[in-house]
Amino acid sequence: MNFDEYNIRLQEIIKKLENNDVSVEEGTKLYEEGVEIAKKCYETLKTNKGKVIILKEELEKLSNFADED
Amino acid sequence: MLKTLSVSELSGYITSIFEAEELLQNIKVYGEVSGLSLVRGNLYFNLKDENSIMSCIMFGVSSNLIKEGDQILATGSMRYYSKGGKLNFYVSSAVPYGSGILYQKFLELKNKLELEGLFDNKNKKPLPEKINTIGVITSKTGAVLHDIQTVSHRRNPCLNIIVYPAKVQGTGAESTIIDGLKYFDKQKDIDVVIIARGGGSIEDLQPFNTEILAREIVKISKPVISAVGHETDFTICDFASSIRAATPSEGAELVAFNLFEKLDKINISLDKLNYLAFHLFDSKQEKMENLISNMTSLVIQNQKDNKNKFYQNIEKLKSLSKVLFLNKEHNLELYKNKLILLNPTETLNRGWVRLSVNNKLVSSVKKIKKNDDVFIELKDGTISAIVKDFKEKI
Repeated sequence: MNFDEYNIRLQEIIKKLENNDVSVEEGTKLYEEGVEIAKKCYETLKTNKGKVIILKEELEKLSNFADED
Repeated sequence: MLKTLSVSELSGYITSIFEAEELLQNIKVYGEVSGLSLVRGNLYFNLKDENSIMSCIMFGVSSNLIKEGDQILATGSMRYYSKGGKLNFYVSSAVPYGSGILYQKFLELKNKLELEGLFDNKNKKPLPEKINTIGVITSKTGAVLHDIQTVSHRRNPCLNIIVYPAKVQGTGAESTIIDGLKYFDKQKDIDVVIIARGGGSIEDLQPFNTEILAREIVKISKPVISAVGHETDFTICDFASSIRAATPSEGAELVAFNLFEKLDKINISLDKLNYLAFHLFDSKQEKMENLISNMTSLVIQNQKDNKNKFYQNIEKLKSLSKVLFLNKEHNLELYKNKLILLNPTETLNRGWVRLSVNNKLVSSVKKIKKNDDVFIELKDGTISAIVKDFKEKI
């Protein structure tokens, strides 16, 4: 699943939890799944943000190099 | 013997000759207006025809009285201006006298070439996206070339400018301009040609108003920018060229893209890219965090609801069990009362007796015989007796 698909799953979990018929066990299980998804989302964000930061630095180096010319 | 005169004496003599000559006083002259300029409310211009030209001055008038190229009938007198050493026609009044021949010719040529389709868009060549080298046809001296070089190098210091020195006024000008066009057409590295000249009268601009130049501009393979005269001057060269620049400086601006502006644009784009990349993360994270917090509060609510349901059930159970015991107690009391009522001792208390024979309770006379030993229990004691007689209820 990618980030957006994870979010869709989170929405589904919320929809289920909004239903009053969910049992405590079921609710906890859904919540557990939601937290797992959140973990994965944070990991994805961290990894991709890191990549962009590295790319940005590369870009800055390139433009500094061009300025020296 | 030769007479020796001072300049003033000679000037005075000439002045008097012109003043005395009636034929030159208060006369009417017609011709075409050119070289018009307004200085402190005085109009200076030339009146001319095909072969001759005459300097004219008109005092205290507004600029829109006559215009360049007008054919006018001027009334005035010839006078010699000794301080300037010049013979002028001092105009007292002027009225239109047909339209200017040069201007008329210009219009006729323009209409002719327009009808022919020479000025059509299909004949205009687009400017290349990358312009590295330009060819400039202009006078080697004068401010125009300097302006073009300054403006273009300020914008793009890498632009190559090759100049074809040309005559831009007077006899032979047209052919040097055409030679320039032909020369640049053959140079492979020339991307655009600029024909440039500063402002001037319609006579000055005459070389740029010819049919042969117009056709040559259209003929060559490179785009031509016409940067002739001031913003208000229009020439045939302007119409035939791919682009008309209002001034030579504007011509330079058209071919020299602003290198620094482009660099700035790239930097702005990069900043935007960086911002958007991080903004994307932030917005995605925010959206996800909203969902998570929504989910958390829902789970907590769900657990609360379930707990409440549980408590409600406990309460229900409690109240139900209470009712249950209450019923049982009530029944028990009923039974107890019943039992009390059924207790034989209670019967004795109420005055009844219990009779038994041989330790067996007797409730019917049928079980009794005469002289039976009977045992009678009362509330507070017992009696032993012998049956004397008995009678059955009928």
